[in-house]
Amino acid sequence: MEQEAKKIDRKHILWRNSNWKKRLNHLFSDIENWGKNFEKIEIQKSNIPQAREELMHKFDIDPDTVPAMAILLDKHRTSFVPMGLWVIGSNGRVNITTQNNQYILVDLGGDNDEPSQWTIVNPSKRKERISFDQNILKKIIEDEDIFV
Amino acid sequence: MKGYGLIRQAYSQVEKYYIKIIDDAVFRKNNAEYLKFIEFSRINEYAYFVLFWGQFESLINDKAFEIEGEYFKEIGFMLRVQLLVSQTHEFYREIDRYYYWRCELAHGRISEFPELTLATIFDKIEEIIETINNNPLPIGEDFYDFFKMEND
Repeated sequence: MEQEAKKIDRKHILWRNSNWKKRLNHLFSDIENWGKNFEKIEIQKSNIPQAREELMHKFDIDPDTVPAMAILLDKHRTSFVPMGLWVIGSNGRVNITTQNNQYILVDLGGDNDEPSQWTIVNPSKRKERISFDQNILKKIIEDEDIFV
Repeated sequence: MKGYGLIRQAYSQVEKYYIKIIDDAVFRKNNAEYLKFIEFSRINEYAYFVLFWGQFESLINDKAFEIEGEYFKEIGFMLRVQLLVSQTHEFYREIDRYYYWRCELAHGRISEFPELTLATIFDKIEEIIETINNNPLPIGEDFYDFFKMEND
């Protein structure tokens, strides 16, 4: 928060927001490509209203929409819903929900256009972090508990 | 770190509930409900951060009492931290940052505060606690002494 205070102006906030959508689109594109290995998979993409971000509000920038995604495989539905960009402790957060599990996916990459490091964190146990990749996606789609 | 673990587990259970409700609202295209529960989730994070911080503050107070006796009550929180962590150490800056957030939240500035990634913040605070508990000298003191010698 203090770091943001040193460099923020309207142009920067607009850039961060545009960069957030770019990173989300990249993430969902990866998920879509990884999902091609499954038969009978259905991908549903949508745009949802962006939650209030204080820094955008401060610079009179209206909330936009952000991409969201759901994957249907047989009777399993897995959804990816962005929660927010300005999240202390990470560079954006996406919720993952299946029928039986809920996960917090965060980008631990830097906030200056560094490559994303999408990681699933476990708030209940110390330092349980799992890099989000094709193998983990498979387990999530099949509704396995990845922290067991 | 039993108390810390319990707080983490309690937070995790409630947060999972919010994640499910938020997803359900998105699925039903109920935007008002979705945005409302994102706010609830955010408030929940603040509450658990302040609770977790309270445990950490209690540890710092106990350690400061061991070193300074009752006099520790006369000095502010960050001065108590200085008894345990050198100002030159990165942990000191981290604690200072968290203390700033805690004061902002505890003094009512929740509407201007961003979301928290509690999993990573809890991890960092637990790392600091473990290091404090395992070090008889203030953390970073060797470097601090070296710095003082260089400047004498």
